[in-house]
Parts: sequence; structure tokens; C-alpha cells
Amino acid sequence: MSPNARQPAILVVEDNPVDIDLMQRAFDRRNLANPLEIARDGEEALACLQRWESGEQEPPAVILLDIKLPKISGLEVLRAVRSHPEFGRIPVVMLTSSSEDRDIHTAYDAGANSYIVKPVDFTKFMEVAEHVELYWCLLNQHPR
Amino acid sequence: MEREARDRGPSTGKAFSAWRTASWVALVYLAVGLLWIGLSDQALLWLVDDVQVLGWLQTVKGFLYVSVTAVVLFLLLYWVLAARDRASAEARYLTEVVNRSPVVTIEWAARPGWPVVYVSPNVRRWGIEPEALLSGAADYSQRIHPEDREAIVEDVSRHMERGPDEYLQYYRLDVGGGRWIWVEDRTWLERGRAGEVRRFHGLLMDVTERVQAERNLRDSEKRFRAIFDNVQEGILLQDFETGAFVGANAAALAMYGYEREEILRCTVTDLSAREPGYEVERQQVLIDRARRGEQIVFEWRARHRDGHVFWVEANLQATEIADERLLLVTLRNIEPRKKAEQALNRQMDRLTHAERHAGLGSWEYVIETGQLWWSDHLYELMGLEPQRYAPGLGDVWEVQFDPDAGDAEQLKEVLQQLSPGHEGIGRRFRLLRHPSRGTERWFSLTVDSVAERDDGLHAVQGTMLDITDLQQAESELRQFNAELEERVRERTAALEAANQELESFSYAVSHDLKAPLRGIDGYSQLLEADYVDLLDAEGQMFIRNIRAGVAQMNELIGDLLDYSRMERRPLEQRGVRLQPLIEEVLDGLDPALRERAEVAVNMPPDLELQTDPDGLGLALRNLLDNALKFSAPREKPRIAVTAEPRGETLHLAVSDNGIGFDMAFQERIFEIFQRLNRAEDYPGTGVGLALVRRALQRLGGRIECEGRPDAGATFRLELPL
Repeated sequence: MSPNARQPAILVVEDNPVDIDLMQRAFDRRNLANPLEIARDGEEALACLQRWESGEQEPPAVILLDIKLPKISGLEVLRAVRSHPEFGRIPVVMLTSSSEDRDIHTAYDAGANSYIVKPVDFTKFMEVAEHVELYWCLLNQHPR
Repeated sequence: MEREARDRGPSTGKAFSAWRTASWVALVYLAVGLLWIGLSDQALLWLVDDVQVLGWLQTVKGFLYVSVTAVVLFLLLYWVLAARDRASAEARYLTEVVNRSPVVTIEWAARPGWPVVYVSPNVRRWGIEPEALLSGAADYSQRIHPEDREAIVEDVSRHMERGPDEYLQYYRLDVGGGRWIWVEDRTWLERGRAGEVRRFHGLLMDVTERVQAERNLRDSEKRFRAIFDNVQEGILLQDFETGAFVGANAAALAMYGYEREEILRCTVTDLSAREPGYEVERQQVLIDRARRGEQIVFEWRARHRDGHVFWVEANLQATEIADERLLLVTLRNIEPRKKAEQALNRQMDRLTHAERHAGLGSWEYVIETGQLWWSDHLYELMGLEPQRYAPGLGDVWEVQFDPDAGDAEQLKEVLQQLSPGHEGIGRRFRLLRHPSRGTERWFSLTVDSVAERDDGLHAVQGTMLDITDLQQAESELRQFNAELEERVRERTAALEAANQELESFSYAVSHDLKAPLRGIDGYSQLLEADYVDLLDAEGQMFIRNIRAGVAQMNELIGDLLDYSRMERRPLEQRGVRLQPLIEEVLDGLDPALRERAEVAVNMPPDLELQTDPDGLGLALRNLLDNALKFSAPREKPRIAVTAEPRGETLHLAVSDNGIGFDMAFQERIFEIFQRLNRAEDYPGTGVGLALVRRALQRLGGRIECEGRPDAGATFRLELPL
């Protein structure tokens, strides 16, 4: 599959540069076409929202959202997205180290569409990247 | 009447005798006259020869004879007629007497049934016509009362056979109209020459009134005797003059243990205890007062015949019986009452002592009369003297208790609303003594339910306890408790904060540790993939070791997370069926190991317990996982799970035939990160059994283990059912 500039982007909200790099590499290794947009904390993620509003940037096919973020947490970002009149229906997949029931419940309550625990094993990590791309970008019907 | 009396008068031999006497008189006269005529004529013939003279003399002699006989005849007739007149007058008189007499004269024929042949007319006074008896239609015996008849007939037969010929009988006689009278029958027999009875003569008298009076007297005597002998009280009659007892009833005999004759020979001294204070002289004084007409009641120590002494209550009263002035002594044995009194006094003593020792007073309030009674110790508690203060419900509140402190007002209301049937107050009232009564004292007062006393009044009782010390202690305790609670709150808050911190710490540690691990694993894998050509065999081994270390570290972090999560997870409590749970756990284990092992589960299929299913599942998963892991080297790994309820406890055991352990490490194997084997031989973090023990502690259970090196291990669990 060749890279296609028209493929909708995937917004990755992640503060850990190692995870960001590994995510990039996982997408590369598995030849995943969708471009990754990176927000390094909650504030940047909210800034993305404004860019989508202004039409400066296309909204992504899916947001991969970490919970533990500096300044504004992933859950707050999630609530902000969900309360947005225009982009409130964008699929949000929580991608985080936490497997705590509490985090899972809160995330779903706040409107997460999916919850994935980041595997430590890189092979599995790549599988996660591939499956997310496959499901949320190809199979899933996007809200208009 | 006279005719009857003459015609039917009792027959005698008089008529026969009169005829004989008259015959004799006539014969004598005839003989004397004939003799005179014959002899005097011969004498004249012999003396006088002259016929003329003889004729004259004959005439004179005739005149003379007639004159003499006329005189004799006159005298004779006069005597007889005078006698007859006298007899007739006497007969009339007697008849009158008989008729007026209550005595009825009667005569019976000696034939069966005794027909009446004569009865005096005065039988009419009984309402019977003489003709009714004389007609002979009914036998006289048929008029005798059926109850008396047989005895009377027998009696008469006996007298007829053997005499005596005069006897007295009493019986009831039918006088007609359904009336009966009692008759006294005085009978004599008239016998013939051969001794056979020819007639019965009787004098009957109506004695009904006498019999009735006698009977009344007899009944009255009987009744008196019955009362005398049946009253509970002993009665003694004493002669004032001689001092001797002249009468005693059965109760007195029983009381003193004497026979009647014996007690009549006793003296007052014999019947007394002769104890100091109970001298006979003292009793004599009382007897003298009774003689003067006083009624004396006193208690005395009496002596039984067998020597034992008992209490009596004596009542002395002078009385007159059959014109004799006697001392009537009524005695009641009050030994039981005295004993009860003594027991009651002892009980009261004990109660008083107990109240004093307990600092407890008691009270009673009579609803109908409004009387309030306090026990002696209650007065002491209130600092009052029983002689000087009579408690009344009204002033108690105003004077004795501080209306501004405690429950005085409420108690007042409660007591004023008491009525029969009231159930009592479950609570205690706290009352503070009125400041004017001295130092501050607190009391606790109870109110019982209203009860009916044996005198029919309704009373409520209760106690009052001095609780000043208790009140003080309580107040201190309350303060202490408040301080303690404050400290507990502070500690709890601190603990919660620490917990919170620990939680976020372990959370952060686990997750933040994972991120670098992911980096290490990711880059070492990328290194291995992209730069494998630049690395020799050793370099490649390094990378493999790095990745193995990462995997182990990841596992360790996972276990740590499990452990901390279990600590924080709230417990659920529900019915859990054990067998399905074990099967589910077994299904979740490493299939490679699971398939090799022979797992025997032995327990009642419907065994169920109330517990947290996740906690129990976690424990079982770790135990079974261990069992599989440590028995894996065996050619045929065998695992046995048994469970049985014993009382309130479930006993569960998991045993294997694995490598076992040294009992020296029995306790250490439950400690976290504690491993008994090398990690390369038996992979693991050393968290599993710590998790199991912690899970069981949280479920209220316990775990023990036993094992021998190379001879298997058994883990025994106990859990509440």
C-alpha cells in the first residue's frame, strides 16, 4: 500500500517522545498509509480543535489519546472534544499504560470509543498500531 | 255423752255384783220373814190360848212386822240411792275431766290391727271424730307412721309375749288431713285367766311440741358441738374459781397434743412455755382483767405436750354457760405467721443492707392515695430524716430535685400520668439533687410498671441509684472518647492521605516504569531487526537478554499492579458455587501445562459459599498455577483439589506431587518477592503466594502449607461459608 496524502490523518496525543517515535516506527514498519499528527500534550490537542474549526486543518479519522498528560489530562481533552458542537463525534481511542478499572470506566463514561492498553512488547505494539489503523481508518464508518 | 259413757264405759264386774247382792237381800228377807211368821205364830199359839186375844196379837204382830220391814226397806233404799247419786255425780265429773284432759283414753281389742273399741271423746281435739276410730273400718296400726309402725308392732308383740304389761311408746299418728302428731302411748294389757291378752288400755298424749323442742335442742347441741370442734381456733373453757379447764375443742387438743380427758386435768402452767417474759403470773393478771369483763387479746408462748414451744394468739373473754361464769379462751396458732414475720424482718434487714451497700434507694407510689414511700436508704441518699420528712409527690419536684438539670420535669409528667395498667418506663431518669440540699449528687431513677397490690390499690415502684461517681466517670469518658474520636479522625485522614499517596505512587510507578520498558523493548527489537548484520553472536545474545529482562520486568510490574489493585478493590459478597469457579480457573491456565497434568477435583458438586468471587478466583488461580508450574518436571504431574464444609467453615486443599519445599520456609513463601527457586528454573515474580495470602485475609480466611522437598506440597485454605 503506497502512502496516500489524501488519507485522513490519525491524531496521536502523547507526551512521551519514545512512545511517539515507536508509534511512528510501528506505522512505518507495517506500512500504514494514514499520516500521524502529533500533539505532545493536552494544550496542543485543544489547539488542533481550533485549527479544525478554522479549516486550517482537516479533522482526523481517529484520535489516539493518552490519559496521563502534562497540564491538561487526556480525559479533559476527551470531554472537550465530546462537547464540541462540530467535532464531537470524532472517534477517540484511549491508548495508555493504565489497565486500571477506574481509568477504563471513566474514559468510557466520558465518551471514549475504545480503550487499549499499550503493550510493552514492541511486536505487540506494532500489532496494536496496525489493528487500530485497519479498524478505525478503513473499516469504521466515519461520522460526517 | 253420758249415755255413751254408761253404755260403752269400760266394762267391770259391777252389774253382776248388784244382781247378786239384790238376790241375796231378797232371799235373806224371805228367809227372815218366813222364819218370823212361822216362829212367832207358834210362840203365840203356845203363849195365848185365847182366840180373840190371839187374833188381836196376830194383828199387832203383823203391824209390827210391816213397820219394821218398812223402816229397814227405807234405810236400805236410801243408802243405795244415795250411793248411786254420788257415783253418778262422780262419773259426770270424771267425764268432764277426761274430756278436758289432753290425755285420750283408748281401748283396743286384742286382734290383728287392734281395732279400737273405746276412745274418749276428747280425741276430737286432734281433729279425729271418735266414730272414725270406732267404726273399725281402718286398723289403728294403719294410722301409725310407716317409719314407726314396724318397731311399734314388734314392741307390742314382745310385751304381749313376755311383759311387762305396762309400757310406754312414742310414735307419729295420722290425725287426718295429712297431719301427723307425736303421741306418747301409755298402754297396759288386760289378760284373761289363761294369761291371754284380752284388751289393751291406753292413755294417749300429744307430745309433738315436746318432741320438736327436744329435737331442736338436740340439733342445736349438735350444731354447737360441730362448730366447737371444727373451728380452726382452739377453744378452752376455764372455771374462774378453780382455774381448771372444763372444756376443750378438737382444735385445742390438736394444738397442744393432749386427749380431751388429759387436757381437762392440765393447768395453765402445763400449757405455757415458762420462758422469761411469759410467766404464769403475768398471764394470771390478764385472766383477772378478763374476769372483770375486759376482752383481752395477746400473744403467748405455748407448750405442746411433747415439749416444743410455739406461738399462740390468745383471746380471753368471760362468758356464761349454763349459769356458770367461765373464761372462754380462744387460741390461734400463729407460729407460721411469726416465722414469716421473722423471715420478713430478716429479708428487710438484708434489703436495707443491700440498699446501703449498693447506694440504692427504693420507693413506692400509690396511685389512689397519692402516698409516696421511701426506703430508709433513700432518705439517707437525699440527706433527710424519715422522722422529720414525709415525702409527697408534689414537693419532691420543687424541693428535692433541681428542676433546671436532669429529667426532673419529664419524670414529673410521667408520674402524674400513671394509671392502673401502665407498662412502666423503659428508660432511667437522671436527676440532680437540688442545690439547696447540699453537695451536687446525681441519681438514676427507674419506674416500674403499675401493679395491683394485695390490698387492691395500684402502686408503682422504682429505685433510685446514686450515680454521681458514674456520672463523673461518664463525663470523663465522653471527653476522652471525643478526644479519641478526634485522634482517630486525624489518623484516618492521615492514613487515607497515605493510602492515596501510596496508590498514586504504585500507579505511577507501574505505569511510568512501563514507558521506558516499552522503549527498551522497542529499540532493542528495532536494533535486532535493523542492525543484526552489525552484531556478532554475543551482541545478539545481549539483545535477547535485554528483551528477556524487559519481559520479566513487565511481568513483575503486572503482578505488582495486581497486588495493589487487589488491595484497593472493593469486596463483593455473594453466593459462589465452588466447583464451577475451579473449573473456570483451570480452563484459564497455561494449556500446555494443564494438558499434561492429571487434575482431580473432589467436592460436593453443589457446594456454595458466600464470598468475593474475584478474590477467591485470584487465590485459586495462583495456587493452581503454582501447582502446575512446580509439578511440571514430574513425568505425570498430579494435582488434587478437595473441599468440604465443616460447621461454618469451608476447608479447601490444593496439593501436587511437585518439587515441594523445605518446611523451614513454610512462612517465608507467603512473603512478597520471596522465591525459593531460581527464576530460570521456575519463572515467576514471587508475588503469587503473597497475593493468595492477602486475598484470603481480605476474605476472612487463612492459609497454611506443608511440603517436603521433592515430595509435593499441599496448601490448605479455610474460608467462612
